[in-house]
Amino acid sequence: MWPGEGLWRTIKTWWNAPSGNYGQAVQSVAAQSFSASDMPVPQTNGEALFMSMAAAAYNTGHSAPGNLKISARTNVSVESPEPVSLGQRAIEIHSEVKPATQSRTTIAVGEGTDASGNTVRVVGSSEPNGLRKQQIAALKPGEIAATGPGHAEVTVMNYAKANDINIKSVGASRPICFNCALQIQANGVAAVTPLKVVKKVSQ
Amino acid sequence: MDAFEENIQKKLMPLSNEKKLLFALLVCEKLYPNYLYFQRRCDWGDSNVLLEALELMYQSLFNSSLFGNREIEQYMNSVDTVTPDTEDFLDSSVSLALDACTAVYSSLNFMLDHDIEHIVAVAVYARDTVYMSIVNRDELDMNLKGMDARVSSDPLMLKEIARQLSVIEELGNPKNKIISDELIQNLKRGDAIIDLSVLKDI
Repeated sequence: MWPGEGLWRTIKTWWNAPSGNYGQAVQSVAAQSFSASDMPVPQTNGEALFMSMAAAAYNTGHSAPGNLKISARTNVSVESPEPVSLGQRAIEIHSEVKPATQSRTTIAVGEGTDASGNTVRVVGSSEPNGLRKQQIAALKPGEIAATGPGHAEVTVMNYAKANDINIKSVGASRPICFNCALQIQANGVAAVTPLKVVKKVSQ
Repeated sequence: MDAFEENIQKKLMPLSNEKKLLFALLVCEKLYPNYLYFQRRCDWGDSNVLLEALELMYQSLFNSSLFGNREIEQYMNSVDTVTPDTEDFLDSSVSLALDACTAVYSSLNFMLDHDIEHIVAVAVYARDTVYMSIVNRDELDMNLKGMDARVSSDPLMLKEIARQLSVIEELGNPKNKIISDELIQNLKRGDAIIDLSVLKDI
């Protein structure tokens, strides 16, 4: 007989014994906790122990204080109250056109305030004719389509200047080129998406 | 996918792969002059690459096993190298040239995988070209309410959509079961889809 074998046999016997009244009691508490009238009665003490632990864990979470409490049957909203970042929004509008078109075009989104103090977003394209049909259709309230020659970022800033919009930051769907980065900086605007990496020419 | 794309896809669906390719090819031919126009204005590009790709597609209509995937991929790479990036050109024709190239590229892509979306994309490129040329011609403000409805109901846009639908209808006509030179010549009829002479510098 190995040490502790007696204790092990006792636990095993209790674990597999019919739960009886203990099981009925656990089932009643668990049914209330989970608001489930069809909760089954545990057949053994082992099953009853697990059910009581589950009910206890549920009740502990359920009675958590204040804003930590999340009901087990509540749908948690996944919609972010924060506006989408400029870079992300540029990519969203960019992806409205076919991938082959995306590969040769850029969309930039700049955020600032108009003359009335409203926050607006100016959307520009690298295409001289401006945004395409699908991209115009994707614009949300507060987003303004910009037209004009030049890179998307420059189009955004030129349009903003001409329409009394004070742009604070700009993001683009493709890495921002060196010239655009210089112009963005010269206008006191923050570039919030990556800059194009210039390859070093080996000597 | 917008209503235009859904409608085109639904109507293209019953056509054989050869007829789908012929539809795309006919659209590519309508867009080709826009590339030539861009090439002359910007002194960049190689229209011969597009012409060779169109020739390959024509030949494939009559003998689908004439070209292997590797050869088609080589043509796709060639088209890719002569496709302009809109960041490199200020001329308003660059977008039209881009559409001409992407239409040919998508058509070649269809020859590889027979995915109908490539053909629908070709129809969209032509629609976009007409859309942009109307916006450019009339110097429309994109932020104006009703701008999209105005462009969509422009005679030039209605004509292009009607042209595409008419070609698909002809291809689906049981009397045109076989693709013949006569059928192709018949479907090629009509003017250019946009008037390049009215394009304005931005």
